[in-house]
Amino acid sequence: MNDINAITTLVYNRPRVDAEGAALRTALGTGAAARIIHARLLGTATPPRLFLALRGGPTIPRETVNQTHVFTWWIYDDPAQGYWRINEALRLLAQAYAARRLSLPQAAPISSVTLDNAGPESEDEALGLLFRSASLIVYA
Amino acid sequence: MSGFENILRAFEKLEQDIEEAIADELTIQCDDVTEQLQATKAHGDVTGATRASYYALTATADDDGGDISGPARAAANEKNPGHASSETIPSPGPDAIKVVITSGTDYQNKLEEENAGKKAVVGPEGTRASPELFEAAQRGIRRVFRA
Repeated sequence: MNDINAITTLVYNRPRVDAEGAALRTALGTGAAARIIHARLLGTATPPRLFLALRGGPTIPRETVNQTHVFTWWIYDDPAQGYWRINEALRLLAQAYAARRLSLPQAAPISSVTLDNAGPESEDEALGLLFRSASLIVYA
Repeated sequence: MSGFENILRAFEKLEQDIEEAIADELTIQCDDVTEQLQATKAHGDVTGATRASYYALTATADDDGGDISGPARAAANEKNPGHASSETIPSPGPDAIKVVITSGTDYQNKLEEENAGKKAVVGPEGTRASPELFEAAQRGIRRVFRA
């Protein structure tokens, strides 16, 4: 099995650090890196809006050496903003992954990444924020 | 009956046998998925309703929307009256079989989505189980052709 930590880091860093994520970071504004977080940190401190949170999902065996890794990006904004900025962030996020294939330095390049169906416009009552989610499927 | 009609009848019988075999194998696999759902550690449980109402079910064209979600909603209502979901799941169309992975409570959407899906169960388990369910359908088809 490929290193899940390494794959998670690649997925997380694409919008947060890689050049392909620059347009998204510009759209997020000041302190963009702090607005892209791991979802487990949501309980400790909520970043300034607009922000993105990544949660890892199941790893599913496909063949003897490959797996399907599922991640979900959750994009949040204040209710006063509506979904306009969320939708634009979603577009730029998809663009960041499409621009260049992810790769693992110690193994074969990750074969495919698709930013799958975006969820509907939704409200998180616990956080008091609007959100949309988008699943990211990584074959490795 | 002509030879051509006999051939048509044979294909219709084959189609029916395949559909039944797929539904049988999926039903068996759904029992395993239901166990996984109800054993989740993603969240706690005050009344036991949430866990008890997780179900994976196989639905065919003979099932109506109320029947499909019935077991899940009944389990929710038994343990937490007033919090059973009022939604029914559409029946599959003719010649269709579907697997439904569901919860019978009216607050499952919150568990699936709040705090970036921190307590999600149905979504992740559905994703995890999808290859096993696909293999179960394949077993059904193989069973017919090996009979």
